[in-house]
Amino acid sequence: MKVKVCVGTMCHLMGASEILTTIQEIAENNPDIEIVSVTCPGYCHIGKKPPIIEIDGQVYENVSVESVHHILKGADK
Amino acid sequence: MPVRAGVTVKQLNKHGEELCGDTVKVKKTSDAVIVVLSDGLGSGVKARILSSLTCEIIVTLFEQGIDLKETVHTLAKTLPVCKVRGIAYSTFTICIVSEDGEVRLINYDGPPPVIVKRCRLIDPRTLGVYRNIEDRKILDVRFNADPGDVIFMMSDGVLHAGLGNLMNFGWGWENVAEYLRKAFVKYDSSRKVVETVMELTNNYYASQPGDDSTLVGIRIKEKKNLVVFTGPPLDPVMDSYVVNRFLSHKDAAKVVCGGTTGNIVARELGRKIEVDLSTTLDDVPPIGKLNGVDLVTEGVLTLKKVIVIFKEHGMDVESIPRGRDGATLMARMLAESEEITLMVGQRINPFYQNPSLPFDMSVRYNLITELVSLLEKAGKKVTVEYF
Repeated sequence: MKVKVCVGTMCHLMGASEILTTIQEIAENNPDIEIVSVTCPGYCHIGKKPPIIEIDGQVYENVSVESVHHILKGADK
Repeated sequence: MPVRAGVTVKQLNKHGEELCGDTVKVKKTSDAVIVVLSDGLGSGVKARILSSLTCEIIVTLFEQGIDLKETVHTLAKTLPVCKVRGIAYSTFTICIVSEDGEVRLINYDGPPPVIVKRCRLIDPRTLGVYRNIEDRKILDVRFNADPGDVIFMMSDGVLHAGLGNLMNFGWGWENVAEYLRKAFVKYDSSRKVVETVMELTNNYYASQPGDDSTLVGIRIKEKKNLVVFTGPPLDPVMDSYVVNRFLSHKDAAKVVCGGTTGNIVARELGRKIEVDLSTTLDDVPPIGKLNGVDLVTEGVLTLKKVIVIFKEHGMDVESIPRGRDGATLMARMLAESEEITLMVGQRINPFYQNPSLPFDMSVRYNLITELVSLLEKAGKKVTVEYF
C-alpha cells in the first residue's frame, strides 16, 4: 500500500506533520505500508480540503489524526 | 573570478560625546565597492562635520572617476577651517574593491589598513610608496585580492586604546594588526573580528574611550548570483518556457520556491522531487531535493519566514543563524548573492483565499514586493519578472 502524504503549504498549515507521524507509527507494525511525502499535488486547487493523503491512487481529504486510522484500516482490506 | 566586498563597521564614541567624529561611507557602483573612513579633527559635532564632508566628497568624486590629486585638491579647498587650530583637516582611508579583484588602498595620516591574505599579514606600506599631493604624504597602493582575503581599516582611536592606562604607548599598529590576523584565522568572520576587537578596545579604554574609534572589516567574497522561481505561471501554456528560462541562468544558483512550482520544474525535467522531512519546522514546511536545482522550498510560508529572518538578523550572511530549514537556507543564499532574479508566477491557489486561514495567503505578490525592498535596501541588484 503506497501512502502519499502532501506536505505542501495548505496541508502543512492544516496539520500534515501530525498525520505523517501517525501514519509512520501505524507503518511500524505494518510493513506493507510505503510512505511517500510529496510536494503539493494540487488537489486543494480543485476543491479538496487539506490535509490530503493519497492511498494507491485514491484521494482522501480533510484527514485527521483520528480518521487516518480508519482510512488506513479500510484501505488495507 | 568576480568578487564582491562584505563590509562590517563598528564605532565607539569618545567618552562624553553623543556623536562619533569618525565617519564611514560605503558606496556600491556598477563594478566596484568604495569604502571611505575619515577621522575629523577634534571630536563631537565639529569632527563629525569634517569627516562626513570628507567621506561625501571622496565618494562622490571617485564615483565620477575623478583622480586622487583632484580629489585631494577639492578637499583642501572645501573643508571648513577650524577656528581654534587654524587648519582644515581630517584623515582618510579609502578602499576600492573592483569586481575583477583589484583592490586600491589609499591612506592619508590615519593608521595604515591591515591586509590579511591567505591567513598572512600584509603591511600595505610594503606594497608601494607614498605620493606627495598638495603637500600631503599619501599612500596609494594596489593589489589583487582573492575570495577569503580581508582588509581592516581603522581610526587612531583603536591604536591608542590603553595609552597611559594599561599600556605606556597604547595598543599600537603592529599589535592590533597581529591581533586582527589571529582573530580572523580563528573566527573566519570579519563581523566577529570587528566586534571582538572593538569590545577589547573599549575594555582597554576602561569603557571610557579617550578618542573616537572605528574599525571597518572588508571581506572579499566570491560574487554570486541567484535566480528564484516562485509561483506557477498564470497560463499553464507558459510552464515549459518559464522553466527553460529559469534553467538557462547558467552562472546563478537556482531556487524553486513553491510546491506546485516545484512540481512544474520536476515535470519539465522529467525528474521527481524527494522531500526531506527532517527539515520541517512548525512554521516552515520541508525542503525538497531535485537534481538540477540547488534548493526546492515551499512557497508563501517560507517566503514569509525569509522576510522575518531578514528583519530580525539583517542581510549579513554572517549574522543569519545556520539552519537546515527552507527559509534559513533561502535567506542565506539571498544574503550571499549580489544579483538576484525573481521569476514570479501569478497563478493563485484558490484555497489560499479561504478566510479561515491565519493570514491572507493570496499575497505572494505582497511578500515579493517586501522582499525586493529589503534586498534593494541591502544594495543588491534585483530583477523581477512576472509570468
